[in-house]
Amino acid sequence: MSYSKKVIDHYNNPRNMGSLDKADKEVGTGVVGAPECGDVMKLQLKISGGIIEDARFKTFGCGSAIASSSLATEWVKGKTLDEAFQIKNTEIVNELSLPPVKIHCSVLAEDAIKAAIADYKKKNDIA
Amino acid sequence: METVSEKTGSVRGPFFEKKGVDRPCWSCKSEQVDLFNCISCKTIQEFLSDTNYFASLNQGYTLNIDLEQLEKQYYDLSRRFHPDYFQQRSKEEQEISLENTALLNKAYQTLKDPQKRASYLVRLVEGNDEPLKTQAPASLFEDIFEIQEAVEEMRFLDPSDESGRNNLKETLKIALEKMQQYQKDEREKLYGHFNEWDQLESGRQSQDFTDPQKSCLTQMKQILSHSGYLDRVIQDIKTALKF
Repeated sequence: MSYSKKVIDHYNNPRNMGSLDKADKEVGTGVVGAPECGDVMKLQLKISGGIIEDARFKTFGCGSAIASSSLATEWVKGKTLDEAFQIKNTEIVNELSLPPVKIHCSVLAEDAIKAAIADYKKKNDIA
Repeated sequence: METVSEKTGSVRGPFFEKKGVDRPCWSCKSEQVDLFNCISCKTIQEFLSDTNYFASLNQGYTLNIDLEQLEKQYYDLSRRFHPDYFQQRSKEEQEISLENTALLNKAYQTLKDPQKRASYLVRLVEGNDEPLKTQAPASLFEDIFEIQEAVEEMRFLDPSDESGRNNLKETLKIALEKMQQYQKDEREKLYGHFNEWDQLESGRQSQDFTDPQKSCLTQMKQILSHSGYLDRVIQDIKTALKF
């Protein structure tokens, strides 16, 4: 199996890698993992006025997991929480041409977005 | 060298136990067949198609097994089936000895490990050949993320940075203890379910597994779903501590 060009590009030039201040009220943090492959992914969103202003990720895992989370941070920026919540793993699969054995990486990225949004809402008492 | 025909005595133990054999010998068609050999023509017999690693349904499926007895049985059966003993036999017999040996090895590797044993039982009962679907509590991932960060830092640390290394080692040691404790707790819970299962199994009257057995299995599944992950993280920390 070989990685697609887009996966390799994200792997070599990850977008938005790093961390935001976890304690910041405007930051939602989602940490998710996949026990079957041992991958673990952290995705953080900085939200201001209902819009995702900034996003950061850090992933310990395979190239596909890194690319999926890197792509997710690109996509969520500028979106509202509801819009970001609608991002489906299948869109990530299509964009990165992930093979079937790597689909769980895209699921992880989708879960991470949702977990980060949930964390932000919890922090700010938004139902 | 012992010959196959001399080893027709019944084998008792946690696996490959089967009451009565209701198939004729593949070679001479005689009905006089025991679990491993034809009593008439002495040829080796394939394992029954419904042979599973545990005892047959009649005998019950037990999760607490005597490992010494298991090992003894494994060696006993290995000697019986070893392809070396069949070099002078027909091609069919050579193949059967090879297949039986392969199955025996797989069975032994599966049954001797408590986690693999339980996973196997789950798959058997559910009639599902897929590996267990894995999941874990979110808090575990947060711990693991922090561990991975420390492991990474350790890897890229400036070799001359003694105090940095010591700090990281301290962090990792604490994490190791936490994960090992977690693993120990999970394992104890799993063994608790082993006892519960065996008790339910010994009282089972019906052909089918009972509802309490199924719910016991579900709880085991939950633990098994991330026990492998935990093992791997612990291994990662141990490796990092050697840097």
